[in-house]
Amino acid sequence: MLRDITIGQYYPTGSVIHKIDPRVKLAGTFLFIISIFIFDNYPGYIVSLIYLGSVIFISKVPLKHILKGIKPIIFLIVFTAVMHLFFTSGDDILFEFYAVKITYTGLKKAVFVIVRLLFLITGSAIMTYTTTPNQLTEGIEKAFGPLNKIHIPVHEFALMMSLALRFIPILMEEADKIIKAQSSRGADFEEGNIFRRISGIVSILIPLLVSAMERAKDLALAMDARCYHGGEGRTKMKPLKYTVRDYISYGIILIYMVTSIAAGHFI
Amino acid sequence: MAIIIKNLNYIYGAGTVFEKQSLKDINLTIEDGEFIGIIGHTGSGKSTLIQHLNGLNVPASGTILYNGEDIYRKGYSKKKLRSKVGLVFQYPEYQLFETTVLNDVKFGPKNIGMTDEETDRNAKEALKMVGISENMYDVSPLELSGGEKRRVAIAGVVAMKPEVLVLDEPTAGLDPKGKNEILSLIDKLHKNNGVTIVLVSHSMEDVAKYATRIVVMNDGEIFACGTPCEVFRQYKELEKIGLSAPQTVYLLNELKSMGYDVDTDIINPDEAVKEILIHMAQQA
Repeated sequence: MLRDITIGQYYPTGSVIHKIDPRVKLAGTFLFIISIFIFDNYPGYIVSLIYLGSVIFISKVPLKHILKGIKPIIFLIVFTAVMHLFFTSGDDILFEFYAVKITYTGLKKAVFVIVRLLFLITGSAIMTYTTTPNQLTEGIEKAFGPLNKIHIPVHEFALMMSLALRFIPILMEEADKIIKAQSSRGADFEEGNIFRRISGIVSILIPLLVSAMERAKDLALAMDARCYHGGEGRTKMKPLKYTVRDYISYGIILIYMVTSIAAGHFI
Repeated sequence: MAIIIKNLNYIYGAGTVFEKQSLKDINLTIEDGEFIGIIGHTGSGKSTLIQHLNGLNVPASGTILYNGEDIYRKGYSKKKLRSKVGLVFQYPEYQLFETTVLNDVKFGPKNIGMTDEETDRNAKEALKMVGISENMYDVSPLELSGGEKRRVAIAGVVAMKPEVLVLDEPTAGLDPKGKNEILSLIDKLHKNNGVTIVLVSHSMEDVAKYATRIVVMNDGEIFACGTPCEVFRQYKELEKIGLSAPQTVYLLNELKSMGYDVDTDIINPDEAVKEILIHMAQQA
């Protein structure tokens, strides 16, 4: 049930994309997301599609797996698109039926919002598929390191993030177990009247919350027992270091940015 | 009637890189009134197997018949099945959520549609059986000790009056006293109430003491199946898959190899003592 949510989970294939420095991937994802919002015509999106497609192809993450990850958010995408389709005002009316009015601008906006959301989600998903949570936070910590100078606790933020990410699979597994245990006790989640269903959901949420608190407490104790005292003076066993591969990747990202923006603006 | 498991195959995470066949062609019949012990190493598939018994896991192929009916047939009521086949998970204390002990035990019976009266009676009966006294009925289950929590959680399933009770390592993490209490409770349910028991454990001694039949799992397959004697006769094979027989079996086999004519099929420590004493008397 919960295992169907695949978005954001690391998917090991050992491809080149997996080996790239996380900072490059962060920058790449960030720039990709910016790029899809600065133009709104087809040539720009075609360039984005080719780029995204090649990254997926090189990463060797099966397309089926990625599509499965998108499934839970399809409703959101469709909903947004429908809103745009029906509630965009304009003069270029395509279709009119009593109060329902569809304009050409609305249709175009709906298509773009679908494309943008899909690109946005797959773009960031491909980063999490190819980067372990640890690499990701390490990348963030290093990339934002300079902010330490203006007293922003970068290390603590990075730690919180890595802990949160680390606990997602654990809590999912636990939720799965609790759901099974309560189903064994005849709990209803999908059928039965609303009160039964609410009591079914409560029977999952409370144990999950209790165990999350327990885990947090244990973790805090364990960290304390190992004299954890924040980021100051802490060194890494394998510090991040750029290699030739990473510089090439930066180059490719730059080429993508230039071509997509050029295609989006001048064609 | 019985539970019949037919050619059951289960694949975990099908279609992803995490794919693993955790059950391979399992065939097993569980008769009414049996006490079955399932033993095996961590990851041998025992938990996965028992989660099929009340339809929580859906197999890749094969099926399970409960009282002659296919539980994976379309339209077969899973809820009804779950009221007949009770499943106690490993560390069941994590499922407690109600405001009071009594209400938590009532959760299961209420869900399967028992009347308020029945629910109340069964819940109190179950709590009494597991040794939770009346003055604890209104306490929050989260305030109990580990062993008490475990017993309340088991009562929550017992109160549903299942015909078959499946328990996944019910004694894990308990002290010897708590462990004995749980095991004798299970034994009582089996002997006095005629409940069919499926007990998953990796403690050979426990399984040997209570089970009428033992199923040994290894790497998703049934490695051996039979009465405790039959299974523990193969103690050398068991060692190869990282398991061991109860200590009495080793002791008696050792004595036999030293030339004493003792009965090596004895598993119960008390009987073993008697056997050895008889031999000592004969020697003298």
